[in-house]
Amino acid sequence: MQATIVARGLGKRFGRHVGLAGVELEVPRGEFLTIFGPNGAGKTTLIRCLSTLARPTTGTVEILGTGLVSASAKIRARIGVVSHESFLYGQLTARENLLFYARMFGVEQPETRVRAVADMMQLSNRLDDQVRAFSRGLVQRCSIARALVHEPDVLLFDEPFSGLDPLAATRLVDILRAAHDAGGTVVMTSHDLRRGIELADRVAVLRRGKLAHIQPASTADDFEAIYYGLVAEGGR
Amino acid sequence: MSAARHIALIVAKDLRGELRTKEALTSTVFFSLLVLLVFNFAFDPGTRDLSVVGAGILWIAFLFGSILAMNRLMLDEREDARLEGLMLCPMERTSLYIAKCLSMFLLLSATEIVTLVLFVVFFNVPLDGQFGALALVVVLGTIGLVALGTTLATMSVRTRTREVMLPLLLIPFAVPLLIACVETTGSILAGRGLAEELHWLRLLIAFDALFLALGYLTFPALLEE
Amino acid sequence: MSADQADTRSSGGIDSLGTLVPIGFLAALIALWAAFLYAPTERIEGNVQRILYMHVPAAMTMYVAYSLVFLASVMYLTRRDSRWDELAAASAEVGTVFATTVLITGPIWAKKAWGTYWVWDARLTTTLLLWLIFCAYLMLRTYGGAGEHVARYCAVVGIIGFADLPIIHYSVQWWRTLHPEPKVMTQGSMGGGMETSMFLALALGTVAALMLFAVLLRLRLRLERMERRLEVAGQLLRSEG
Repeated sequence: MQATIVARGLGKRFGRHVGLAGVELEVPRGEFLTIFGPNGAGKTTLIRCLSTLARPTTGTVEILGTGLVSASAKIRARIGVVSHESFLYGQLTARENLLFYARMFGVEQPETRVRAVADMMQLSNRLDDQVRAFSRGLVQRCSIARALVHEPDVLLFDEPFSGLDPLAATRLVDILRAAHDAGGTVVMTSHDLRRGIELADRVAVLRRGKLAHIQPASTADDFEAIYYGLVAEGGR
Repeated sequence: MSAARHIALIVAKDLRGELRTKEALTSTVFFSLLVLLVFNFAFDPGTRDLSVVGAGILWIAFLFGSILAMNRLMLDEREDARLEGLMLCPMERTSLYIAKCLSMFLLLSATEIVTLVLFVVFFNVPLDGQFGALALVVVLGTIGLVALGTTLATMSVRTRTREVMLPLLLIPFAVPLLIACVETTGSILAGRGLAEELHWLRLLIAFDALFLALGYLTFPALLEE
Repeated sequence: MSADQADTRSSGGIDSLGTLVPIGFLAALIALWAAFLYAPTERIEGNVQRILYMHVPAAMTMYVAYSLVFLASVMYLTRRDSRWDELAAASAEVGTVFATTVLITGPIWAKKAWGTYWVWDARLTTTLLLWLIFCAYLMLRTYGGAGEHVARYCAVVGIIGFADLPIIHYSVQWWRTLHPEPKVMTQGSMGGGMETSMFLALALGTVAALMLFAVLLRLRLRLERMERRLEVAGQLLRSEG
């Protein structure tokens, strides 16, 4: 059976600046893959290419057997994205935000579905508060609920731990695990080696726009050394 | 799901957000009021032919007000990268252009109605029986401002200078629209109606059609990296 | 990192500059001779009329330059090749130099011919608005910030700016005919009854202006490419350090 995410020779240039330089990646169905890499290695660009926000300069991405460029509007219905930013409207309540996105994605019974994801993300008691009053951790949970609201088959998380205090980060690990159980295939980028490995089935290192290393997370005892070795030797 | 449903959802979301804070509405109406007053002191229309000065004052108030409102609405989508959230929804990105144009049109129309009332009151404008003609000109002018402004505001809010860029880009482009609207409005205020101004109406329609078409075609390129 | 085959291209640029510059210099000399010595002194306006031999060629070149911006912008949006963006940027900047020349030489001549520096004549107003649009375009490039989005935004402005031209033209023309005007520029004064020698001087001036445009465009293009390569090098250095 074909892998859920297949990237072949994925390259992205911004003018003369190279963001991605030929990424080869296959993520099988149901896997949790964590991608590490120093700042500027191309992690965010990779997530943006996989989520159809950025159009690759070279190479192809197939998600669930469909090419991204040819049918991006259709395939977006099966992807959920959590980025650095929440995509949430501060002046609207959490419920209004989630309902809006549920309807945009054509969810059959939006009210029921919104209650279900809110339960899962432990924000049921804050549903009718405006999002602008939320703490960073709460916004992050609401943002994950937004990404899950249309029951996507593929989840893309871009550095979900950034800006969270240790308590909120610990809580997020359980939530991400629940999201993985609910959402199927996950690709996450992170700087947090310990939590990233803990969650993942496989771990990878992105360096200078290329996948420099990939291995199963179960044998990751020496991964930290490999990571620092790769990063120190060439920067970026 | 159809494009019309996506557009309706986005417009409803925009209006709900705006009606909750009323940020764009109140600031635009107040700003338009200030423009009317400043021009009143600068030109003293009481001593001049209202059909000449008045039309210009009204349209400058509309133009400046629209810049404020369109910046406000687009900056709101920029915050927390909400525009990207919309880009990730399963719809064509051209639908987003139509939705933003519609939201801006509704918002601007609301502020323009208030501005128009203030204009009639302050400048003692005789509008007997000409309201339909004036409404036609205002609607055509607003469509043009919105078609152009949605494109330019989308760019402007992502530049380093943020909202400063919108007036610099919009005003040179909007000059033909401004001329056409002032000429036709002046004719209405002078009690001559629109019978002799059909060429200006045609120009306005051409302007609206051109920038709606160009905005629609180029909007995906503005968004997609 | 910046996978660059541009070196061969830019050396090709230097070669063609090597032939363009002497030919252009010669063309400029001939155009100057034609404007000041060959063409007769205009009977009514006198020597001031000779500024038209610079004014009209600059206007033609401005339209060529802005058309090039339009074409390069369309190509950039369809192909997304940064070389088209570089061409649009260079052409817009050099085109604006010529547009500025038009706007400076015009009033100098108009003072003598029409008795006033500025007339809101259709052609003048169109040129002024076009100049304003491309000034805004250059500001967007400068203040746009870092990133490839500026290239896309400028391409859109380059396209709508040029497409706006007929609407601008008709609007300012109709606007003028409804107002009194001090003196109208007649067809006769602009070419209808023009002497052959005057026409020849204008043609030679246009050739010279176009050659100057080509030289400036190549130089500006080379500078643009150098700047962009330096930018990439700077990014690399910062991220390594």
